[in-house]
Amino acid sequence: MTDRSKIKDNNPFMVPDNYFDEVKEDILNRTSGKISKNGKKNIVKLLKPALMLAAAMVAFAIISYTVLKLLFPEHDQAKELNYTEFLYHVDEVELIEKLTEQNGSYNSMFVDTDEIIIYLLEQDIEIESIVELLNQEI
Amino acid sequence: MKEDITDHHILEEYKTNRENGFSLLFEKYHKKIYFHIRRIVILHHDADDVMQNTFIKVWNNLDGFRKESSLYTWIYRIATNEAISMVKRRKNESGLSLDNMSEYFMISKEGDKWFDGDEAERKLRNAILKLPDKQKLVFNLKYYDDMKYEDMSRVLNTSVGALKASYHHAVKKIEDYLNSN
Repeated sequence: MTDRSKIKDNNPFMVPDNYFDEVKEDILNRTSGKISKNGKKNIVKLLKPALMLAAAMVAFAIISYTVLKLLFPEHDQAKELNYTEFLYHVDEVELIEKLTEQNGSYNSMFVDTDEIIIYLLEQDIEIESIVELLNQEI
Repeated sequence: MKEDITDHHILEEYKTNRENGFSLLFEKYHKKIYFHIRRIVILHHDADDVMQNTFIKVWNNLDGFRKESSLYTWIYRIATNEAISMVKRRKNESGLSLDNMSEYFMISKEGDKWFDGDEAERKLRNAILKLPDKQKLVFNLKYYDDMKYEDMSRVLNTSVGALKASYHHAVKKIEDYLNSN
């Protein structure tokens, strides 16, 4: 209690020993911690709580998906089966023709319908192999 | 001497290096600001809290500081507002009126713990504590900080004429108190 103010001789208030040194260090640490080296506020520090929350939600979603997949494997099989059955009954030529009728621009945007049919015939690609490829991607 | 550094130099330094500029500002003002706050809130731990809040606010808002006012009056204004908020908070917590708060400070051991004045200084402190809030502020800024009325006007957002009147009344009340005690 000896660090008496030297600002004004008639200032009677005292402060604890080394108070001003300690408070200076404390405040400068608090302020310097809020900026990055280039003087801008550290975005990562500011967004840290939000990033942690987002990461936790992503982790939760992955774990939930994995658990559900392990517990209910038939779910995907059923989906695959339905999809395969559906495509099995679809005639590829008819499908392409329908698409062409519904959206004229579709044909012009990509390739001609006849070209697709010729390509499939030349390559000897069957509808089942397309279904398999689609199922692999799912 | 850090007190000799001009505000202009501090602001120029701050433009190129924020931390260095703020460090210079802190060196120049922290003791003046601490004792200004201390004279309002009296207790050291309250003054410590208020001073830290003040400089954190200065740091956070220095980018937006407009040179319409001087750095000196701007910092004093922040410190004064923070200190007044602390006093109001203490009043609300204790449920005491202003006069009772003054009595509390005058008789409390906590108030005396960090007080190193002689008997005359103790009387002066008690006389100041008896003043109404505004007069107390004006008297402290004039008597201890030797602040010009024009600067005080910016700090307290009060006209120079009203400040002169407040100081006059404060001095009269203090004289009366000292003569009667």
